[in-house]
Amino acid sequence: MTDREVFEKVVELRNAGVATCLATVVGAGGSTPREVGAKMIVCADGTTYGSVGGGCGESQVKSAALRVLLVTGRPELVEVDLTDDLGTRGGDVCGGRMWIFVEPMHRE
Amino acid sequence: MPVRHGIVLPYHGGAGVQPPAVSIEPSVSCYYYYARGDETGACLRRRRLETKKGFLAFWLPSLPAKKNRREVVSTDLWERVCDLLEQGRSVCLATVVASEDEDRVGRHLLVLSDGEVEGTTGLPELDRQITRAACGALADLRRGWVMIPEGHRVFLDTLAPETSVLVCGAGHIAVPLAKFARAVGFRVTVLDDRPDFAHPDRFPGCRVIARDFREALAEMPLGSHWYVVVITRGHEHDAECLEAVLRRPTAYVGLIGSRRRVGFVLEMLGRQGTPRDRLRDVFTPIGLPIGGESPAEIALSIVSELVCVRRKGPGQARLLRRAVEEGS
Repeated sequence: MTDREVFEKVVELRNAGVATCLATVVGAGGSTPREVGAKMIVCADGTTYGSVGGGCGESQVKSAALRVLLVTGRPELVEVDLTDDLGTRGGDVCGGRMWIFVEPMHRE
Repeated sequence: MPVRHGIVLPYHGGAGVQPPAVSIEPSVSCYYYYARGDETGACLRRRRLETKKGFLAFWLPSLPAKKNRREVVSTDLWERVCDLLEQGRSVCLATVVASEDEDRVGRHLLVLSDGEVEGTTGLPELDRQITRAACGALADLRRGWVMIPEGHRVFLDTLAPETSVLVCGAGHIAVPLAKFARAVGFRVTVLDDRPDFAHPDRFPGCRVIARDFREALAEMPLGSHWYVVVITRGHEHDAECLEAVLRRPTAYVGLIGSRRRVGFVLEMLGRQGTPRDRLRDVFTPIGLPIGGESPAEIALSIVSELVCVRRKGPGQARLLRRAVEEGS
């Protein structure tokens, strides 16, 4: 999904009355699965569009998005650590670190 | 009454137990539960209620709970970004992602390529500093975060108009080519003078133009974010398309065909006055040398070349080709 497709989707979901969060990779160090600027939309029912890298890091982002939507209403900066040892079962072993900003797209 | 969206979670606690919203994990299956507005009354805050099957429903507030209420992102910002990109303009969307001043977090500033600014962080000095940094980021299409005194971390997201592919010729290679190019994030336009070939059913998600090549190209808004692939059914049409395309700047022009056919077309255009340096820019034989034979394989090699030029520049694509030629 290109950035523009993500933005168009945000607008479309807003118009459909669906509560969503936008997650954006804002910082990265070392080897990471996605580049800075990659985006994912998380809806209140857990549906996602786009990707910030898949795997456990993405679940961390989905959790944060639901917390933002259901509880706090405030954006969060999530740090995803991908430096698990090689061979860790289900581990994130890319070797880097990502910072993902999760913000609510509320409808006024 | 308007439909309000809620979320329903498996519920195991007794009455009076606090909703487990804080610990929601994606592994918990969530169910959509549509409630009529009159079931929720005028309550805008998060609340819970029992539902029939032992599930707990949360209403999503259309506004955050009062104590946390603050100016939230107006999604009109995103509509504005879409409009500007549609107009072919580059923008830098600046977002405060961390700050000692918590009320700044989540604030946006939209900086346009001509230095014009929309929105505010609420602090004029911070706006000024972000604008300066954003103009720098726009100039070299950089994205990333910067620290701005006092203690604001700001993400600068530089957004350029989407790269577009123009496919001249809607034959058998164009179909997989358009599909692959869409999948890797290009906007695709397909042009052919045969309406049966340039038919929207053959190219889902693409703009399809069935019109005389020369006429259509004269009106195309080509520019430095355009990638042009010339794969028409005959060398006369190839020449016609190239002649029109090479008058304007583009990111990439590729021409399909045997060395003989391609050599003939380029030679003819050179004699007719197309500048030689523009002719040298034409990628031909087209596509990265991966040994493609079938239409889909050839389309894949062409799209690989487009991705290479987009990510690494034309030099890298030529280098790859030379390395293969020298190695074989």
